[in-house]
Amino acid sequence: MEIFKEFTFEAAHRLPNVPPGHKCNRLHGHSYRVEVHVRGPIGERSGWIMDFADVKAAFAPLHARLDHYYLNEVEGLENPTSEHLARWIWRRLRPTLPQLSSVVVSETCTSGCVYKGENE
Amino acid sequence: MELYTDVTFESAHRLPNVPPGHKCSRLHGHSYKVSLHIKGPVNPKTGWVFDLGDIDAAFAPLRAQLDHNYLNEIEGLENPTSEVLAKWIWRRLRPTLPLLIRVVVRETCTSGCIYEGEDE
Repeated sequence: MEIFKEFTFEAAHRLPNVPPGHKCNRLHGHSYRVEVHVRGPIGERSGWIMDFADVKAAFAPLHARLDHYYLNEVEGLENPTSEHLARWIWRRLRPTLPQLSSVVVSETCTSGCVYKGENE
Repeated sequence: MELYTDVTFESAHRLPNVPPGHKCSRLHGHSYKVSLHIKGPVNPKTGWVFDLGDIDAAFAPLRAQLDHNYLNEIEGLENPTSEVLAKWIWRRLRPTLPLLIRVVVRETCTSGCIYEGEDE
């Protein structure tokens, strides 16, 4: 079974490698939404896969680096596409959250990126 | 009767006048949502107060200035709080949209500002 927890943060970014004139090349921002999915067996005694509070605690240091910041200035996010951000989050969460099964990054309500740790 | 349409745009901003260390003084961004409310009688022939498409058309030039841009660089938005932005939109929309009665600016899903043309 899988559980997930949603987080939001408010950040600025621009994409340095898009063609000239592309709107994403301009400095702008988003209300980002991140889903952290965790997969595993249900504990016999606890009745849950893991405590949601532990998911929140694992994400907290990343939230502190992303929320109300300019993503391009964060190390590893020089080209902060949804894809790069999803992998950036995956690599930093996985060590403390080994049951991590996917990271979903949404820049807007209608577009998102799903990363399940491919090529890691 | 009252009618409204929601418009969205993705922008960066920072607040220059908050106390040192306030997170809003850092460059960040939001997925802004703005509700434009108009009020008037229902036309007996058309069956509507107003064509919602005309509200979108009236907002289009403002959207072109706001979307995927850094709000602080826009004239009149040097201190782009929700309050200043709501008034900025009101002043530019009202001349082409005299039925406008309310502008609601949301920086996030859980916080907003309502402006009904007070002090104009």
